[in-house]
Amino acid sequence: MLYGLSSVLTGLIVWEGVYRIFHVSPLILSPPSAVAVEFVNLARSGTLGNDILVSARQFFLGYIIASALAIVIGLLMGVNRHFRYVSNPWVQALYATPTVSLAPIFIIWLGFGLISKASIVGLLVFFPVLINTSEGVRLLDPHFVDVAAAFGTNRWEFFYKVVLPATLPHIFTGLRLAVARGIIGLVVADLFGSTEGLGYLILNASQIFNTPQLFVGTVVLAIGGVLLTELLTVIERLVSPWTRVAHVL
Amino acid sequence: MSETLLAFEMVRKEFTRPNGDAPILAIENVSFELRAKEFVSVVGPSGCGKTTLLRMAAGMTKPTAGSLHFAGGAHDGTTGFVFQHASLFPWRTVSENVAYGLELARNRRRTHLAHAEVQRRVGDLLELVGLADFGRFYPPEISGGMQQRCNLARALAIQPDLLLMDEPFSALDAQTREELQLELMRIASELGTTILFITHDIREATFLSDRVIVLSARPSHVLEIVDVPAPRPRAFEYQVSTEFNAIMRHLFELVHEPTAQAV
Repeated sequence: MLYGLSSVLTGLIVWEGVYRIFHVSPLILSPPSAVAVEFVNLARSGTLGNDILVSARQFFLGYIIASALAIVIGLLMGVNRHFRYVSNPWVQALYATPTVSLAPIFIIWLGFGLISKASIVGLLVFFPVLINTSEGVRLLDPHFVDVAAAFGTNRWEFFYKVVLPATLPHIFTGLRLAVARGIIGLVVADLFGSTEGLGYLILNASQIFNTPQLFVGTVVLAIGGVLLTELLTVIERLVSPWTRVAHVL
Repeated sequence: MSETLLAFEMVRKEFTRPNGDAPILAIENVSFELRAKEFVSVVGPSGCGKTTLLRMAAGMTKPTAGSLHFAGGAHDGTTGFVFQHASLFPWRTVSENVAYGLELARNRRRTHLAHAEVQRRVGDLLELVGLADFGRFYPPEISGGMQQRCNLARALAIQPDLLLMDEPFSALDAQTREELQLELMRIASELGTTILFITHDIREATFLSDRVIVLSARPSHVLEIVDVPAPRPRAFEYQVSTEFNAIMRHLFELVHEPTAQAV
């Protein structure tokens, strides 16, 4: 924590220093001080608050629904061989596709509103969660299968007493990776047409050559991403305390 | 001697290969009986199907020909299995691991165990295997020897008619292994559990068992069943007695004879 904080502070100081010493054009690189001033301005006018709110709503709607679907389908793919064989080609193909290129189609289908933006976020969130979940199930230690069989564990018990807890850490890895992807989806969605939201803020800034505003949008997204990832780590620790135990004896 | 608990009758086991190759004959013909409260070890060269015999006894696999008979009719899963690899569930504490089999039994209402009763039984078992202070620890937090003690407690929790042990101490260091052999000796006599024990270690087999079954190389059959007459529980010193060494030597010759001829 202390290391992280001092590392970030040093970075900001170097950034500001470079700007002042080499007299960089504010169009190319705006210093942290200018970004901070712009942040306060945007916050005062209420634009920033509204953009954050709009983006957060789009993000969470897409993230939560896509993650839930991906976990369920990923578990099914892991547990059921036939289901895996049927769905694998689709998953492989869609995962390899730069799915952001489908964003315009979503906008044509669903319009510019909340639903289309959330869908694009969801599309990007879906695959990392799905793939980590199904691979997590497949990585189950075969020793546990033996133990379960020796105790006469039935299918349902095996699923919720063995498969589910064994897969939890993998699911959380997927959820954490999906945060970054979802944020990319958020910005991309706004680039294809929008009137509010953090992506719009960034797009607008670049069109009027307001570099500090561009950085405000970017930094807010970055901070949001870091906070969400940390939050997921905290939740993981709560629901799977065993992943954090030290090897003592 | 007491009544027969489990009989293997002319058991044969072939393993089919996936790509249409000829099946592998692992066990040609094995017959023996286990009596109640008896400790029987199975030794033999690797690949002779020792583990397969255990898996059959646990109902995890079926013989290709021949049969297994449990005394008193149907086999209803009252075997406990201790694997070589402790394989404790890392998401469960030591106590929760021991409670696993009892939870399953509770879920199916086969027994009407109150939660408190489960806790009491788990507590007793942890006491028995010397882990009373470690119930709330997670498996990675305890040593390999302690994990294997927990594994034993987990198998004993369902009060099995028959305890199946597959080289349970072979992954442990020599000192821990000797310690656990003595513990098992004590626990087996204390509870009167019938045990079928697989091992590569002839010394271990001789020390722990009432009888040692020697299997031939694959396809296996019973070469000889050797009695170890000294009453259990035995003291550690039994291992330096003349009787012990004579039996061990005989077993050694039986197990290694085919190899000696080949060389």
